[in-house]
Amino acid sequence: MDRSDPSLLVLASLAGGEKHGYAMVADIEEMADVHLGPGTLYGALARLESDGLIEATEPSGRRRPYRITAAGSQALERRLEALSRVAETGLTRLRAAEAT
Amino acid sequence: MRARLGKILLALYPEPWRERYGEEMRGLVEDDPPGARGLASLVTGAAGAHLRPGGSWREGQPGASSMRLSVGALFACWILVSVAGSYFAKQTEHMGEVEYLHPLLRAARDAITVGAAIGAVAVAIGGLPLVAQASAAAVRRRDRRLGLLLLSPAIAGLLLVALGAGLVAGAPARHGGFPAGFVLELIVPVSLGALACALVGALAPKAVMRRAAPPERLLRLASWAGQALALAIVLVAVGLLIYVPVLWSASRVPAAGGPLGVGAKASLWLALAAVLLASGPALIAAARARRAALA
Repeated sequence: MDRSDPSLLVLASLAGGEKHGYAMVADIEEMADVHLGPGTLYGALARLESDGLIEATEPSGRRRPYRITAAGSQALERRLEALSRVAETGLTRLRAAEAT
Repeated sequence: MRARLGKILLALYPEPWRERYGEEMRGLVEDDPPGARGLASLVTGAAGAHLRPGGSWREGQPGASSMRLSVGALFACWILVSVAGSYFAKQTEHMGEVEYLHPLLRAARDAITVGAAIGAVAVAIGGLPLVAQASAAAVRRRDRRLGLLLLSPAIAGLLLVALGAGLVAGAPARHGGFPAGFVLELIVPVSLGALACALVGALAPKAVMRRAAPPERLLRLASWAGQALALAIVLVAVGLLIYVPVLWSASRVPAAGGPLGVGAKASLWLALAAVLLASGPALIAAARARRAALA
């Protein structure tokens, strides 16, 4: 998981179902041990919404939940697969180096 | 306290951003009061939102509102350029001989002067009708707050003059005459006061336009004048970008550096940095104003 990319963290959080800002912050903290500040979170939400990767749903009070779109799911899958390849290759090389 | 500070920092975001995300962000700041990093994220997030050219949160914005905000941003950039330009003019007023020896310095000063003239004309063409409309609206609606906003730059200027005069008048009484370090004692508070004045001058037009709600035709005129204003800012930036490094290198040649000390030259770099800082947002605001005026 690329912990420095708030957009990826938000997409990964919304992959588990729609959430509002505070729920996303709590979920991301639990998932990646990263506490996103409000400016960082909403910067990522605005970018993702502009790119059509997430969409806002009906607000309940002051809270407005967001959900991942089909394009967002595909983008997340592609990036996680790429990260997974990097992680797998890195681990294989590390083990090989330890074995020699 | 942290939640309150966070809510205050939300005011740094652009108006259309606040309309789209403000309520949610206020809720989040209340539910999860930000620490130092969270507060810093609000500041950097606001800067990013101002500098980012697009975004779906801007799309729903009416044309008049987009023009009003862009014109306000352009004017604020112009104020920053004017302050830096005035400082440049003051610091280099006796540089005629050095400029005569360095044609590039002369050309750069000409670019800055032309830029300043274009900017002044653009502000007059775009700004005066808006001031007239806002003044008429303040009188017609008997809107005291609008009147106060209109007068706020003049009031700030008068307070600055009063501060300077008070410090000068009070010095002999405090020290039994003008002490040796009096100039420094005067410069610091007056410079801070001048900065505060510039801030009022930069922000007042935005607040006035928001309250006065000028008609679209005036905003369109100001948007087109804003294109000239952006050009003027670029001209001043290019002029300073040439002048300051050339002057810096000229100072290494004995007797060619002119009357400026190293400290003064270094502070010209600060003026250059301020103008370059204003150029980027000015070009973005001009592009937004042009798009909104054409729509």
